Amino acid sequence: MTYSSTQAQAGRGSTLGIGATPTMIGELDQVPFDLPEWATDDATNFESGSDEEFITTIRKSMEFSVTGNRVSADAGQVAVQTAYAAGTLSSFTLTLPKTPTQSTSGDKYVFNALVLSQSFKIETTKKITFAMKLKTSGPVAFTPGS
Amino acid sequence: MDIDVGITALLAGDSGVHANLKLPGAASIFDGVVPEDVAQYPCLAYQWVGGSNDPGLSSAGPRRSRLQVDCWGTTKRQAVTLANAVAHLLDGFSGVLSDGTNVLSAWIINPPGVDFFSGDSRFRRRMLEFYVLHNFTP
Repeated sequence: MTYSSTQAQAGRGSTLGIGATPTMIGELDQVPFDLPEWATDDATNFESGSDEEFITTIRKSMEFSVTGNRVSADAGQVAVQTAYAAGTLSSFTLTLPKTPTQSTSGDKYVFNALVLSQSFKIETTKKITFAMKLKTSGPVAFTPGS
Repeated sequence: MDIDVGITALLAGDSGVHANLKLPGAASIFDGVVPEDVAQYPCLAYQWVGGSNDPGLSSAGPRRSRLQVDCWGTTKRQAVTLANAVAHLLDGFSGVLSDGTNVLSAWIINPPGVDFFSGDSRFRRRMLEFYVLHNFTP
């Protein structure tokens, strides 16, 4: 594609939902999403010449913290609290904003994760914020938007 | 939502503020500019002087608005007493205003205020500034 101007997207409009039929987790402001990282094994041998060689073995699950405004009655935040309390695996769907060429949905990442922990920040002159730490389990399925 | 309506109603409805205004209700509360008629003093004027939004990924988020309240009197004592009543009301306030705006928190940022003297009118003014953290309809 011949470059004419940036096609970058801003994060505004992204959503993270919990559950097989996703319930949007409301008022999030950051989702530092990490896809599972490949572990590697060193396959360097006498015939490798001057450079090390590696092979991939298995993808390691990732942990990342999602943050936002704490909203007591938000259905998605309540569902997160339930998942955290139960310690059970939940399905999450991260949907990015539509690009100018997408009309139905933006790109999606669907994955299972455990809600490892929750934390809150309470200050006198600031909104109450929350953070939830997720740990992915299994593959992350990517579906391009359309 | 119209926070101007809500803030005016809040100020007009507070007994401490009301007791230090010349006229009842919102008649002594002005949007930005106060009258020149000395018969209407003490009075106050408010104006919004800046702020910032804190949007989420899919929500407008709260807005932190900077509110200036000018408390006017013909004497310094009038201006200071009115300013103290306004500060007592707004500093630490949280709640839903009459227009539906939910004020998460409000606090004074220049206590006890800044004093001015108007050379032309000979009126005294104490200026207060507050941050008002609130929701809004984008």
